[in-house]
Amino acid sequence: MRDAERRFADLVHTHQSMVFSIAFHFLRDRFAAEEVAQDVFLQLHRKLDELQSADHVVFWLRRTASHRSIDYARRRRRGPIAVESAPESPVDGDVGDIFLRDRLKALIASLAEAPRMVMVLRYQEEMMPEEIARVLEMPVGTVKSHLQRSLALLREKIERSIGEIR
Amino acid sequence: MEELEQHLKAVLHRIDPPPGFEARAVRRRSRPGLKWAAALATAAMIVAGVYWQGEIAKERVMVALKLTGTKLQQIQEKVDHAQ
Repeated sequence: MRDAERRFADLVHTHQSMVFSIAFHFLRDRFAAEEVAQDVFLQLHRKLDELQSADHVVFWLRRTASHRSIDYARRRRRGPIAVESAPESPVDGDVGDIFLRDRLKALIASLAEAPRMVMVLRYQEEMMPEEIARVLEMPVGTVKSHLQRSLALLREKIERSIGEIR
Repeated sequence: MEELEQHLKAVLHRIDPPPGFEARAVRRRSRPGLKWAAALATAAMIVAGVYWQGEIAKERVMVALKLTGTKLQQIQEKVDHAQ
């Protein structure tokens, strides 16, 4: 196997979970997420020579996966309502937690595209607002505003349907 | 971190892609090359087809010229005979 091919295979192995999850948590559709993630890696293969450092690769993958997912949702012109469940991590909570998390998935899926992607990058990738701003090419203030509004909206709706969450 | 944010992290944790994803990604990268190969093969077939059609046309012209030559010779012989 040539060096470039080995490098590409290694990058797919290392980052497949990150790329697929960004698309899946945004689109909530396993097939659509695979299509987007496969396209992202195909594009990565073409750009491989331009991406030298590991940090640059991660930044590029996050940005491309985010924009491709948003483009995909717009092309399909479908609402973000259909919620497919992701496999849970080993059950780490009581029935109330599980119910609450199902409700949260539906609420996240009901957010508009920009705030939904901000939430995915913040809580899946644990990125800071400044990093999210660079990835999504939007002002930091807009990212912070999306985060604050989304959290307030989710808290309000969860409190209404389940009970108080601090 | 707030309890809500902890729940969000749990809901939005990274998940593994479907089985075979990695192999499909590595295999798929070669598709553009295959497309070029297919395009080249198609172009070669078109060129060969045009060349083949040209050969047939050339052969037909040669037959027509031979027939014309034979006819002209027969006419010439008849004219010579009449004179």
